[in-house]
Amino acid sequence: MLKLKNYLNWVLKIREIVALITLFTIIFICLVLIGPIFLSINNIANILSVVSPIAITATAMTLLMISGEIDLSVGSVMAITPTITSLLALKGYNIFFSALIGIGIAFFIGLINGILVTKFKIKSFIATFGMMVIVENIAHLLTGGWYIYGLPPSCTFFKIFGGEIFGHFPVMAIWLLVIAICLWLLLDKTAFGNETLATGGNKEGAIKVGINTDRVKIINFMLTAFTASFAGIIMLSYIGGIPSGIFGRNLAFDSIAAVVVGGTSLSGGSGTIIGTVIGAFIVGALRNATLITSISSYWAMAIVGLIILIAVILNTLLELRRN
Amino acid sequence: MEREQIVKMVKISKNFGAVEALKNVDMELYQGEILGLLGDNGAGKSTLMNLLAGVFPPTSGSIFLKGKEVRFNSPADARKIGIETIYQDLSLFEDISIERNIFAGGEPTRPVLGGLVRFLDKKKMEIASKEELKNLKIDIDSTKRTVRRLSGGQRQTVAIARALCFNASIMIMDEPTAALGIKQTNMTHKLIKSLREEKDISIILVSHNLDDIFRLADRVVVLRHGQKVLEEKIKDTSLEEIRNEIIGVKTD
Repeated sequence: MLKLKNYLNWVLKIREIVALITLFTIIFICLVLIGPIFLSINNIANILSVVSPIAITATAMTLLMISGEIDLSVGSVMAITPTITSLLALKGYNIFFSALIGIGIAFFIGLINGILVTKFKIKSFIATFGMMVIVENIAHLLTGGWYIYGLPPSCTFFKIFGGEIFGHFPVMAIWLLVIAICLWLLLDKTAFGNETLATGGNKEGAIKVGINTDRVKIINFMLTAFTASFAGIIMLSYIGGIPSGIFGRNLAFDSIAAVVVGGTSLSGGSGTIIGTVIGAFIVGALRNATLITSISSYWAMAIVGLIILIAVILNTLLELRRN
Repeated sequence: MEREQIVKMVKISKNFGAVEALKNVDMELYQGEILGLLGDNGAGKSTLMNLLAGVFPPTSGSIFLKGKEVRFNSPADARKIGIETIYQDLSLFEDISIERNIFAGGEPTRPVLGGLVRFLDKKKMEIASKEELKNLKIDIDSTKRTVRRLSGGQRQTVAIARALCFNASIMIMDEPTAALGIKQTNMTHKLIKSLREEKDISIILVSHNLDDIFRLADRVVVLRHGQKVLEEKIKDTSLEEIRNEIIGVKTD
């Protein structure tokens, strides 16, 4: 029994256990209020389609927040990459090539975010907020506010990123798994992951032991932008077009909520990928619950906001107790 | 017993904008000695220490290591050639494990997937940190615990273990006993002496604490307003003389 406890302690620290319990509680409440249809095959597929883009973005956001920064521009990146991709594709360019350009732009945005924060010393909250405003308006200008359509609905590209297998199971969940595993390996098993933890835990100390903290942050900004753009490509492929004005609007809120609820410390220096994925499921399940009932989605936002508050209070109490 | 000159700093000056933190300072460090670096707040001790630690370059002047001139572009460069600095805040990271703390900034890695990617060599990290901590006679049951729960003395030992895991030949210690009680201070003194005796490490001891200095140092250098005002073997000077030079009292 003691061995099991030690193993559990090692695998899941207390914050992740709390997140898991929260998730199960929410699923239970939804089952009670909505009925068994909540966990029907179809609805699980729906939940996965909501969770995947959030979780994909949130995993990289975890590394960024562990290193002590935040990115509010992820929603606008999620919008602009598929916008550029589909505009180029509609002009006749190969869609894979178009997607590469679209994702390349995202890398560039991430790089600018990183430089603004590290070299120009602008607080990430402010810098990425400004970037968000700029990019989302450019995305709006590019689409002219219209729905983008006209791309062949069953092209291979769309199948790879936004297809469905075994009936309704969304392929994007597999992409989520791949990205989550890669970023978990990066955080837990590489030197870069340790540098990220150190940079966020004690930036001055990290510099003194020889870590290039600017480089760490810039790379994390670029990773976050990449995952947001990848989420955009996935949604483009899943929907087959871009619904005007909606793309990515909630992504910043949802992904940051997922990270925080999943147990990553707000002050940086610690956090896990598995916690964030659990957090993303919490956010996604709530959004789905309001979608399939007549409850306004504002309730979902309100509940997520409340959960964030509770998570922050709990985390703060834990930290105070430790000191 | 003629000791080899390990570090030579020649005509070192450092300006921060209009502030002259160091003016034409010469300093040497000999193999296996403990050199006390003294001075009041603002005298330039930290600046001199940071120059040797690679935090920033001098405005003018040169640093020589065993006769060869060295230039540091970053603290990593200084660590690469065996200069380890233990700052007063110990540069520890609260929420990661002791072994991750020890190897932060110099993590050992092993190739994976035929060298495509490198992973942390966690086995090496665990073995090396356990080894050094055992040598330093500290009782920590697991190097996977986070640093947060460690006492001041234990943290100090982890910081020293870090230096030893990187084969420090020169250690700069910034106020090592400032936050410690009497008993722990005594143990730290023993530790510093054993570093010199058993491993022949050359140590620069930056301290306000004249008790530390008189118990440990072979020689002392006193800085005042960015200039060197005293350099003596500890046995050739006195508490009074050092204190006067730190403050700047003229005695005739």
